[in-house]
Amino acid sequence: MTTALIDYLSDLNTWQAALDSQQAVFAAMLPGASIGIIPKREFHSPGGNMLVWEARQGRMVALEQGFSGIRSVGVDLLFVSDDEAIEALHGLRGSAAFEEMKEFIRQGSILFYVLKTKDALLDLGFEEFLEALGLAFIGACR
Amino acid sequence: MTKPGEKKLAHLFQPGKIGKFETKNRVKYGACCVSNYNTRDGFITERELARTKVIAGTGSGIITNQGAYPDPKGEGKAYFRQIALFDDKFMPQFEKIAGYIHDNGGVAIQQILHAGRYGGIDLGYCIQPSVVPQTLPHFRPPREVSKEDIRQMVKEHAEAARRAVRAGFDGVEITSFMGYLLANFNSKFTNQRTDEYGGSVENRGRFMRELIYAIKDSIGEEHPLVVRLNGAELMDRWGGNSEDECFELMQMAGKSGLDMISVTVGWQEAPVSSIGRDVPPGHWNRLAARAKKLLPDIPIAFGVRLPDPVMANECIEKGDFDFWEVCRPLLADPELVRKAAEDRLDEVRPCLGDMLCLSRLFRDLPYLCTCNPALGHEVEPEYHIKPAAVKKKIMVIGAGPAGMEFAINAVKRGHEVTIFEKGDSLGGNLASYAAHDLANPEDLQKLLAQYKKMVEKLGIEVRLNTEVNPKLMRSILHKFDVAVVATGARIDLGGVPAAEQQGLVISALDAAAGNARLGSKVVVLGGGKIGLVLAEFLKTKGVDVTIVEKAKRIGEDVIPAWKWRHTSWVGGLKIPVLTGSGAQKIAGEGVTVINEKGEESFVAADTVIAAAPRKSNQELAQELEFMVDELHMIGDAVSPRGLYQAIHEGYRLGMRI
Repeated sequence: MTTALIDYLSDLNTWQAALDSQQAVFAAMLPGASIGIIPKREFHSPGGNMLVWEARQGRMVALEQGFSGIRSVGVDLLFVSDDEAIEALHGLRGSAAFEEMKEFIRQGSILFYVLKTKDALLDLGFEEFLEALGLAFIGACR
Repeated sequence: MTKPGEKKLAHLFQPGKIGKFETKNRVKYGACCVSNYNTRDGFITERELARTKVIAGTGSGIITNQGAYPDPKGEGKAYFRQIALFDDKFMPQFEKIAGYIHDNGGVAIQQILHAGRYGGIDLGYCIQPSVVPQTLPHFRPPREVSKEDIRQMVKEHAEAARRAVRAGFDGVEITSFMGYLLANFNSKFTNQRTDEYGGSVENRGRFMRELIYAIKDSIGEEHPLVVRLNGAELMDRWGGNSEDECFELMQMAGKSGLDMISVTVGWQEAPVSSIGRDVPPGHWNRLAARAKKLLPDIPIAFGVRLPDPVMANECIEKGDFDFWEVCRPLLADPELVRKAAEDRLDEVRPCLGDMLCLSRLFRDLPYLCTCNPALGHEVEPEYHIKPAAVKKKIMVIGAGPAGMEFAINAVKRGHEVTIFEKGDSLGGNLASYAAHDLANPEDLQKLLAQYKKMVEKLGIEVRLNTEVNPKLMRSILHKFDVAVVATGARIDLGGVPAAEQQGLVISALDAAAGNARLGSKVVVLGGGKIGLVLAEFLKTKGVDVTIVEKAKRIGEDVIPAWKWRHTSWVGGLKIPVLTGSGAQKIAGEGVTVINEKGEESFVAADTVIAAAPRKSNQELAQELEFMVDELHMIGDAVSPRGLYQAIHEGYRLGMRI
């Protein structure tokens, strides 16, 4: 990872401000519900840090955690992102951040993995978040 | 004697060959969908048998029965009511199905479907070559299979195949369609193993080769084996196979002793369409042509987004493939092959590709078809056309899909029907909706053309430009026994703030019908299917459009498998959307919008299209209540919904009146 990218991911205050501007999307999430964000290259050669959004005491908080590979990752959803997408998202606030994220997902600049079952995600309160990002809840077979 | 359509489509209707078996034509009914009509523990039901009898009678040269999972644990089971073949106890029903197919002169193939990454529906996990998490929340977390597991899976496939043949099937099919187990081993996205089953294409293809060898050993050389393989996975962004790798695997399969390759496209997780209405018919034909060129001596079957027998005939003539593999069009109209043979293609009920079948399947429901209300009800006598006990004179008010569907079926049962339509053509609002459809207008237009053809063929009297009202009814009192109100729905302009300027607000139905002049800055009130179709169309014509929707999200009335398409179009076309918002005031310069938090914003507009709320045209039914013996309502006149309900309600009333 470049220094700049590490700085972006570790800049928890800025990510927290972004989350605080959109807490309504996370309102239904139960404590412990979590989302990880990691650069693509880190995903392929684990060992570094991952940005984590975790529901705690009624709000989503930004944290940093180690990432030692997909088999041991402890989050419920994992976003694997191009460097450019992380740079672009860093510092965005409110609905603009979600719109931008949605666009990156559509373009394939951000990939996402689902680590829990559908029922578990629904029970954890993920429905609003997934809908806000336009992620299909059902098999597509398009 | 050669029928006229068989002469026209001579290549499609020429005999074919699979293994030692001769086929009467080049149509293969493909097992593209699982019906979900069966028991939770894998037994075939009477409902399934009745439906399969209809499929067996389609006239297809090869009939592939839907996929059965081969393992007792159910790791291969993808659908709630999928059939099983891991034990002899399931065989009696398979014997019946093989019998139905043979009775109709078809070659019977049984598909073995182990869903791999998409399996384990009752287990809470799925199995894969490697642990690669899901990309859709619908599916279950993965477990990696051991070499011992692989050996067991190969054995279970071979045993299931053997059972199929013992039950009377002529051959067997295995499938990597849409990302099932075989595809998981073949793809470098889901196969990240470091042993002899992973890494190179040669290694990734090892599981497939072992399956082919084991199944051929088990069923014997005389019974053909079909393998469905991806020509394209459409999983590139996830690190899936390139097209070249797909064809390398196909070549490997070809050398392993199979008897037919069915070329498929895409995985369920693929971020782009492969079979939806937004894909032009024929779009993927090039993949079949590439397969045929690569493997000229192996029969190639193909039919992905190829609903048209004329195009299929041309492709066979050109040598792009050998068999037209068709599933959904035969669900929409099981008479398709027969009508093609008799040169009656204009009577075919088209597959709209609207995905009602798959939307239901992925909600764990039995599949149904928008255009074929009898699908899934074959076992119920109430859904069969039988002469009416009492022949009635029936007036149908409204020539939309509901009215025409009713009229056609009522006439087939012996009733005398007259359609009254206040407009100057048949089709109702569907005609204008079709004209603005960004996906593939031809799909809906074909449905309309089929209705018009059948109305004409059955000699149904149509009175256009005739509005039914109490005055007209008084003039025809007692001339009809029954009135069927199929007047559809309208936009309730009373639900929209009054505009300060006349003509500024127009109904979406008028806009779609071309009855109103539109400006260059348009606000569409209502982000349901009507509003979305109009907004998308106008945006592509260079109009500056904004959508205002009261609900939290757009497309709430859109079919689940199609919602993503609209949100993607709206996003791609960069149409601004204000959700959780409504119009507070409409003035000459635009619309004042207020959101759920009470915040106001202003959107400049010279035209406001009201696409919501919708209201049923029920007033006439109330007025006619004491003017006719029997009165019914169908379709959107009952409650504003859509095409599926319109057609199904029209059919059901036609069957029972």
